[in-house]
Amino acid sequence: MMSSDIDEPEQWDTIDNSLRCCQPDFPLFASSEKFPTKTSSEEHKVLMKILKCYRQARTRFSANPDQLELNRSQISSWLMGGLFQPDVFYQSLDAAKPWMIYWIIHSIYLLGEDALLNNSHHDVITFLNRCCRLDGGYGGGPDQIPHLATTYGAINALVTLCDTEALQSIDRAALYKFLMKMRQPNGSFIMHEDGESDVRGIYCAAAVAYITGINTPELFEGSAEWILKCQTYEGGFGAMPDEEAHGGYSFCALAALTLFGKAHQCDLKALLRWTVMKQKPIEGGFCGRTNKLVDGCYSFWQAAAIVIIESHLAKQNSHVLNYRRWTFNQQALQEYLLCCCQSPRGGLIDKPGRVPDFYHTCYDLSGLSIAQFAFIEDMVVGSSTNKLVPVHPVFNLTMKSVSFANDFFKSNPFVVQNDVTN
Amino acid sequence: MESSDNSNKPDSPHNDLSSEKSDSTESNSDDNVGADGSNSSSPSEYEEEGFFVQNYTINPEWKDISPVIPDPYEAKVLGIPYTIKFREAHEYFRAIFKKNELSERALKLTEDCISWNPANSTVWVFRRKCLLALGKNLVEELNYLNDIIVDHSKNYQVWQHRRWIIELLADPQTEKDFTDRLFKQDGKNYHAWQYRQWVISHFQWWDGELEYTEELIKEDLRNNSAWNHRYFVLKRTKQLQNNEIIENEVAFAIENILKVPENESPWNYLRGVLAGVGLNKFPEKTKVFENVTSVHCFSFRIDAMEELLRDQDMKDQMVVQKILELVEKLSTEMDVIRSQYWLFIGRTISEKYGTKKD
Repeated sequence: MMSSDIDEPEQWDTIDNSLRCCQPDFPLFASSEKFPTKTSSEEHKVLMKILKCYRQARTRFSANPDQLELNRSQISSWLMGGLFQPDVFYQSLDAAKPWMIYWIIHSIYLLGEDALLNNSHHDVITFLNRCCRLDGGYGGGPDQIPHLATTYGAINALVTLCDTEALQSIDRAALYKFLMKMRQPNGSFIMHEDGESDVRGIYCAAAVAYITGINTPELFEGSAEWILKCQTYEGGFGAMPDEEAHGGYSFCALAALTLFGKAHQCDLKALLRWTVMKQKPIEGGFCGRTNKLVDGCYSFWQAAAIVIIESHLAKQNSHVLNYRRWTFNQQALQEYLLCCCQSPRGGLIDKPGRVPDFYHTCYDLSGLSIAQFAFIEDMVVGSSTNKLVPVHPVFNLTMKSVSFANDFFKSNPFVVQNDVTN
Repeated sequence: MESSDNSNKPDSPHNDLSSEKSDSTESNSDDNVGADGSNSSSPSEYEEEGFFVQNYTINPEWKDISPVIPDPYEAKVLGIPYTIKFREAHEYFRAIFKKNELSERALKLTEDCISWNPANSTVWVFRRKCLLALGKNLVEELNYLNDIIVDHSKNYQVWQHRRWIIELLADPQTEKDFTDRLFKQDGKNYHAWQYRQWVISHFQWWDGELEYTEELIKEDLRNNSAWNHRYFVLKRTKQLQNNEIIENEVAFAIENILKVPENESPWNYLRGVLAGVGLNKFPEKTKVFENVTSVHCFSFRIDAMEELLRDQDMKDQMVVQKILELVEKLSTEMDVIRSQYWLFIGRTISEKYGTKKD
């Protein structure tokens, strides 16, 4: 397909807040690949859909970028509907309920719509406790075996609520015992009894242990060393040693190392290069692995990793950083999310053509929040009402939730019971 | 965390159980869900369940079991309107699971639950207990699993189950072909690669792997999973300490780079194989990059020049200038989306190696 001219007003030149997709040099059509392979033709198909979204945005917003809006009310009513009247199609997520609750509640809090849940805290807490009757961790639903990922979802959901009742509901001694049970002698963690072990396991265990204040040296002995083996020649981290570098696992690895205070032991420079290279030059969003397709969820996994890396670099070599902007393109990422990832049904999506789901809504919004706040300057693309609540890049909780939990657990210190039976 | 592409519906054989359910209920990995608003099934109708229905409640074989009926609290949040078949199977499963009944009927019940939701780890773990207790033939179990994996190839539980079977059978001979079959649909399936890498390292079955990656790269030189696998094989078989092999791999990477200089995969691979010996180890081979214009090429050259500077006592300012020129080109013309990153790299270089001016 050739790039062709399209008659549009030439009004973008001096407007400071003009959109990237409205710049005169922004491509309107995808050019064809000289050396096509399966990868490039799939990418080409996606790019055509994305450029269609950007062409529409150009028509609508080139003169008034402020009118580019996040459809807040539609998104939050879709989320609330999901929490209280979910569709039958969600029965395939019957073993991931604490996850779904976290995705929904965190999204609502990012939108600043906490009040919508005011009357529901008790029901959410009660439900999550039902998922936690076996063995200290949280399962995917009542009477399901505990799993580290759903435990992470449950604890994060409870912490998000900023509610003493929610935090009191966590049985930390039992949780500690569960984490110890998942721990392997080499410092890695299996996701559940008789389950797989990978870098997600360590992150989920570390995140819940640190946020609830039950992290002990014994719990994570050897874990950082195990993670370091997962950094690949590309710079990112794989799920296990020498597996392909991947945005989700990379985030887990870096966030866990950060909690352990050992992030400086990995190759941060290579990690930064690999991660920034995952932002797609035209699409504006991130992909998860080298030469893969853009996907809204990596707006969080990859961009949050960059934020964490820069926080470490700030300690080492503070004056070469630009504290006003992250090293990824915040504007391009926000435009991808706002122009290409909003479903008319209300939720957010992976890429144009997909249907919305809670997972993508949560991580698209989390990534949008990450892209809106640099160290010392905010940068909100489109309407000023698009501004979200700032998020903690390691836990993916709102900053407010993290400090509420810190205060609560500091005043309730945890002591390991030595007489815990096995 | 792997985002799954629901688009790769395989043209594979279906078994009766999995083909009767609608595509939209498919759970592909534990994050994506095909949840669109068009609700087509009304869960309260028995008749639409057809003759497949197990009818546990009226089946004499199950009459000694009282199903665990969820209390109203369970439906206060995420009260999914389950189809009757789904709900019934899971209510009986909860009862059997609590009793820890490792029986033939329990095994059959897990199959029913799995057909509804293959992402339930409780069901799989319990199924493994049943299989062991009943001394089941694991080759049959492998056959049963084949179609499920093909339909749900981005689900963690199915791969864990496969690994468990193969470990017990201690016979991986079918497994390279099996993963190859999946790579024909999606050459980048992360779970399938993880699994293949486990198989070949667990059984020390390295022969043919390097050739296999060569084939895949020939097919699609942008398939990064194939590049990673190539690196995996060489690293795990300790060949990356051998200079001759490194030189070969450098040539292999460059050959692919020159075909498509914008392709990040071989560039990363090149950095990888040179990691132990330095980016400037083969100047006669990398000289060709001076005539290549691509983001990754410039990025490589910047890092190679920085390595030179690192070893110099007197930092050669011509080299610093050259780096800053490349950085400038990247940040203003060639890779504008990453201009902040390149500016950061430029400041880092000036700070470390430049003569202080300001």
